[in-house]
Amino acid sequence: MVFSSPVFLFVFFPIVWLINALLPEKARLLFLLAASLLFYAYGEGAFVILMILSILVSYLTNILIQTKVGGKRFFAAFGIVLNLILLVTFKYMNFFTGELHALLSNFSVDFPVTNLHLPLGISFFTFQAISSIVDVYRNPGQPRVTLIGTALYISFFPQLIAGPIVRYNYFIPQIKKMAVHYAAFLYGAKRFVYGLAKKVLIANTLAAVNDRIFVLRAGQLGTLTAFGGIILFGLQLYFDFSGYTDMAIGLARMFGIKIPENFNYPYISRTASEYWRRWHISLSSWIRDYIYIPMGGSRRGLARTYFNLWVVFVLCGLWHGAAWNYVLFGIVAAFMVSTERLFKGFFQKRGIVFSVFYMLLYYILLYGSFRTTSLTQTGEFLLAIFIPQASPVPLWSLMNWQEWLAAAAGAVLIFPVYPKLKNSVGNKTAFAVFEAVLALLLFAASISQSSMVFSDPFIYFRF
Amino acid sequence: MKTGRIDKIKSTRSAALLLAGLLLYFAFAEFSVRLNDQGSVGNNLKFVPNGILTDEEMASAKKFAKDLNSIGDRFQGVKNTIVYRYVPAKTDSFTLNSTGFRGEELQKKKKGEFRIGILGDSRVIGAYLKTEATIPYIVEQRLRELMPERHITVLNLGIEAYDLAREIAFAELFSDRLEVDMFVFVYSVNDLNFSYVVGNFEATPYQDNNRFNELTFRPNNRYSDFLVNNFNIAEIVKKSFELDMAQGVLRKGERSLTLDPERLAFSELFAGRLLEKMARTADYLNNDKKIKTLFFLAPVVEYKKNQSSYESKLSFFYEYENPGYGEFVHRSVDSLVREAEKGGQPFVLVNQMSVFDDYDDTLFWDYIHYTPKGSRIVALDMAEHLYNFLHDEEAADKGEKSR
Repeated sequence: MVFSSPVFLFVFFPIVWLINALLPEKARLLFLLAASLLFYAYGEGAFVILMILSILVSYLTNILIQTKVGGKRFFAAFGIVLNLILLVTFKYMNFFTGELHALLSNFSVDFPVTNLHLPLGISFFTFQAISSIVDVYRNPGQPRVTLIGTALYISFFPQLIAGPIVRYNYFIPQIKKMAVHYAAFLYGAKRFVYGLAKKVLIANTLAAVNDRIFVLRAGQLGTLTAFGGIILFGLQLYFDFSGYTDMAIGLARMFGIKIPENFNYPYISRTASEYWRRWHISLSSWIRDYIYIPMGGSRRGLARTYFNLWVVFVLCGLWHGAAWNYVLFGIVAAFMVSTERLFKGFFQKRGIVFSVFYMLLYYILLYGSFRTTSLTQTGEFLLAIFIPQASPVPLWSLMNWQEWLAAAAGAVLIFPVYPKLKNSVGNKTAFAVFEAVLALLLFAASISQSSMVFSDPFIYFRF
Repeated sequence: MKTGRIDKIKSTRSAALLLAGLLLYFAFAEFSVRLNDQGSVGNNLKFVPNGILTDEEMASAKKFAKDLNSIGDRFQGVKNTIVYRYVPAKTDSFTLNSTGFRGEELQKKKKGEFRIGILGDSRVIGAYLKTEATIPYIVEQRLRELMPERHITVLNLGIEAYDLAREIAFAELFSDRLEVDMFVFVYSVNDLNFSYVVGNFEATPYQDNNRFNELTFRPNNRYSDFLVNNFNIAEIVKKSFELDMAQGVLRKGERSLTLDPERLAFSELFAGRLLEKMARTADYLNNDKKIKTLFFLAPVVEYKKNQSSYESKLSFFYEYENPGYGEFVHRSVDSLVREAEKGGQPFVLVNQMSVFDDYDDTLFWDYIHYTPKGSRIVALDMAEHLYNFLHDEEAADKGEKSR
């Protein structure tokens, strides 16, 4: 179920919220768990069993870790491996068998190719399941794990499909007292509407343009069109994903749960390293805390540090999708971050003009590999950008005025203008009224948008 | 700011406040959706996402919908028949003449004129399209280019929601008045849909003006119908739910939901029965009325080979209410094509189902209707077949005369 869909907005959310409010507090956890499972099963049907399996594995592992004196390490590793098996099987098996098939066919061997369905959000819920195991392993003395607590942590519908990835130790203490106060509810509602508007009014509008640009092939692509495509895709991706995050944070708040921020204006970053501290923060910090640091981080010498960096970024690329262009995506990120680390002094001394051009180069390489569907297409886009050529299909011929307007709004809102405006207004009551009116207008505009029903799911649902 | 809890109902007053808040939420949403209501003619323009139609095409489609709605009850029935036709009307977007079809008043046939009547549904009439983008108009232009000596005119005899049975009845009733030399029957989406729903390839009799209710043979739920008919939000929720269910199937990579055994059997059987019906019609028109008769299988979205992502969703549109519909379409069309390819029919049956095979862009703007580009592709292919047919006949006639 998509948060911006009418079924969610006018059926699922109001009913679940109302019943939750009517129920005695003791019954709420169980009810929210049932609602979350229904939310997942609505779109994925029987594949909800995979999530239940992940929940059971994590719960049993955590129980064993908490009760056994010895063998904690073994149980934790076992639980993590089982979750990874789920992830690898359903997310990467088709890719691996496809590549093997292609390779072995050169030797006249017909290796079978699997055709498994990729369950929505599997990358998110398995990472959360792993987080629960690692957190309990690291702190086995914490309050005893419960099945409902673990299940709700892994399946909580606001962040189930596309994050943010919430840590077990951050989530569990909150479910003991899920009170919703008026101020929190209004904040959550406002945040949800902002996210809805980001998704429906900006990301969906730009998606239509990108669909037109990214079907162009070599010969049809000019420098300006290809470059425009990358920039517009960068905007679409940010407003799509950060819009979803805003909705997730807002929804969770309306149920009395705080979930962490996932974005901090990534496009004001001056280096790739800074970008990864501002973009999809919950994934970056998850990878840092659960992979990079356990591998030794930067404590085992220079060579090992760079090795670790490359491993985590290539894994990060693969986490986004099972295809070679996502591996390239990870390599680009690893290369830029390593270079910055190697020439730290140089990068620190550079001015704003250098940073702008440097980050544009980074976005071209990063999004060029992310949005295209094959390495060949990635190459076509990069060649069109780096070898100046006229555009047979000019960018302006591909966009109407609403799309220009959405692009312009996006180009402004990637900067922290809104918090600056808020801080500069002395009259807080007046600003609160302004925010309320703005939220109403954005809500009205978003739900009356024609693309609601047929809108594509959020980009990060795939991961 | 109040700091009390909103999720704890302590009194009747707090319950009433919560209920009022909820009602306000729905009322505001309904108001917002109505602000952007484009109007509808069976098919909703408001569900077409950006980028499928150009701004100009969308503006013209909205104008068409508005003009069509402005007529009010636009159909008149013909007593004791299943036929209905349009009431006369003139708008900025189109003219409906007194014979009951799209186009200027029917003129007496001129000497040497070769008149073709294309019968079909809203895709033939060109619902939402400018006259220049309609199939009959493009066919006429193309045939005039290819055969300037024949003085060809093409009548647009498309009527919304028509199926083959009604097209045949219409042709039988009006053939004398229309003075056509050739009828082109377009078999397509309504036929398949009726066949699935009724389990028969014949349409049911027309009653009054209540066209669209008649089309839904499903049992009605009066509460949900009340909501859907009166509140835009409910209508949008229903459509969204149906699409979500269909997309669930799509995600699993299946062609369709499971088709029930009765319909499964019917999908295999009906080709033979339908071909018999076509043969009887062709026999009557060719021999008794001396009107050449051709049948075309116009493309449907389920059958498009390289679907755009939007078309993939459209092709699952009926799956929720009609489980197995996609499978039914494939099986029915396959069996029809298989039977037709065996040959031996006393009529020409042209299979256009694969005419979009080379295109991966969006050629359907909703479940049923072609975009202007799609309409042009179908029309040009139809013109090509008609040209070949007429050309072969001409050659045969010349051969006979020279003998």
